[in-house]
Amino acid sequence: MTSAVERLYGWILDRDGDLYGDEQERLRWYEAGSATTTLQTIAVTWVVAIAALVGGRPAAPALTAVLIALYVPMLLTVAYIQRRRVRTLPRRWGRRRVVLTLLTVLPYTVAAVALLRAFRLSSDANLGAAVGAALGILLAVVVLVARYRKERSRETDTADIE
Amino acid sequence: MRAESDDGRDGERVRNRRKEQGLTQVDLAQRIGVSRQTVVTMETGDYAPSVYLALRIARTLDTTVEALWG
Repeated sequence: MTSAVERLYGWILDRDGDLYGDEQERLRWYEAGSATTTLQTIAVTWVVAIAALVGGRPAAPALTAVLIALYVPMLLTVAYIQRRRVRTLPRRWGRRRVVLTLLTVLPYTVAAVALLRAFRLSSDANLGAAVGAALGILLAVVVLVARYRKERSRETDTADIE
Repeated sequence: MRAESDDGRDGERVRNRRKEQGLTQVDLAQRIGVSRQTVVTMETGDYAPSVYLALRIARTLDTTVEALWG
């Protein structure tokens, strides 16, 4: 069954149409689009995060909303990739992956700091936010490790069958 | 995904076969439903076609996929 995300992506990608030309031209557009998206993600998130930091209270909420708007399509992309049975967990964390991950994740941290600064929360609230962030990171690590283990056991099972 | 062939020999085989059949790049492009530029990139080894397109090319050039890309 085709999901709504797959239908949406299929409509945008127009694999059987002529929106991007023939198959060779389409591949090049997809390649360029992919690189553009990475560059835009890094450039826009950093500009927005720094603007939120500098702009203070009037700017921070709206700019944070922009960051969230940028993040939601990324979640859709991961959902789409998983639906197409492509592994989303990296097999290895090379230098390039670490650099790209940091470049795309850090702006969200900067934006969170900008929000805290903009609303000049009390030191207790700041402490609460710091503890919350630490717990969030810990939870993310636990979930990631669990997913890696699940993936590995699935691969072992598949290898046994083959 | 890597679309290019490493040494361009596949592209050379397509070019030779096309010439043997007396077709221009434009003729071949029209028959297989792609742009001339795509035929150019295939013949220079800059683009490896999908299985579906490779089959169309092989049929159009009266040969097999293996003979062109094997």
